[in-house]
Amino acid sequence: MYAWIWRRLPGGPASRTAWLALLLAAVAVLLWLVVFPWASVHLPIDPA
Amino acid sequence: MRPYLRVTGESLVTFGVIVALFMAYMFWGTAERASDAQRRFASELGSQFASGLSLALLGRPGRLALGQPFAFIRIPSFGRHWRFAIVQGTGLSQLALGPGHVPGTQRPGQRGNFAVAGHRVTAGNPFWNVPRLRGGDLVYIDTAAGTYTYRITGRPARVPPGDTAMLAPVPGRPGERPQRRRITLITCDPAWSGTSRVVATGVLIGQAARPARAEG
Repeated sequence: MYAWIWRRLPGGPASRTAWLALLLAAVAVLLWLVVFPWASVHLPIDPA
Repeated sequence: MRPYLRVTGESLVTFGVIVALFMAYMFWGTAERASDAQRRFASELGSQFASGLSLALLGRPGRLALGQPFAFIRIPSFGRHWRFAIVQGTGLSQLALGPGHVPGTQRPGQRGNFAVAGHRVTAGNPFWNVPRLRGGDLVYIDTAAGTYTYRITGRPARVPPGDTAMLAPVPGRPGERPQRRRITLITCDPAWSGTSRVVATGVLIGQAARPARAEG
């Protein structure tokens, strides 16, 4: 899965590393700002 | 076989990282979200109380919209600066922003039972210390009408999650006619679980009207 992504990133190793970091950061931001706020009020963790 | 193993392994590691990130969100993210909301509520209530606008809403049950803040709760034994805005409703999306008033229970100062539920953990851990309340501890509720002082009557009780009797106008005795004005604070126990609830009860011992604002 990660090898597949790595092969599709453009440029040399430095460029690919930068792209990968950007991609991971985007996923983390999406999780933190959208997915987790939604999940935290739909999972029964500390219901009251 | 190898590719399947690799994909499975990568998926598991990815899942583990996401779960770890989610735990971090539960600790810090929810606290940040709640404190942002609390800051907003505090300024909203401050101007509302100063203008006296919400006086008309008091004593008229059913008029508060879900998620609307209408009072502050202060408990000095939790710390001198411990204060949260109470919102209407106890759904998880309301409790994510602050302690919530249980719909259908009385308003602050009314005869009967003013019930407030709050998170033990997450969302700034508002009710973390509720199980440590003791008889004699004071709870202040600030509304547009003034400040109500309740005194906790004893050690908090542990009840099953479905037990709604403690929300009755006379806690523990549904259907009975209330004589006293009470408060009930509810939170989860043990922390991080929905196994049971901890309930602390108090009675109204005083109230002070908000000083009338000079017109002009």
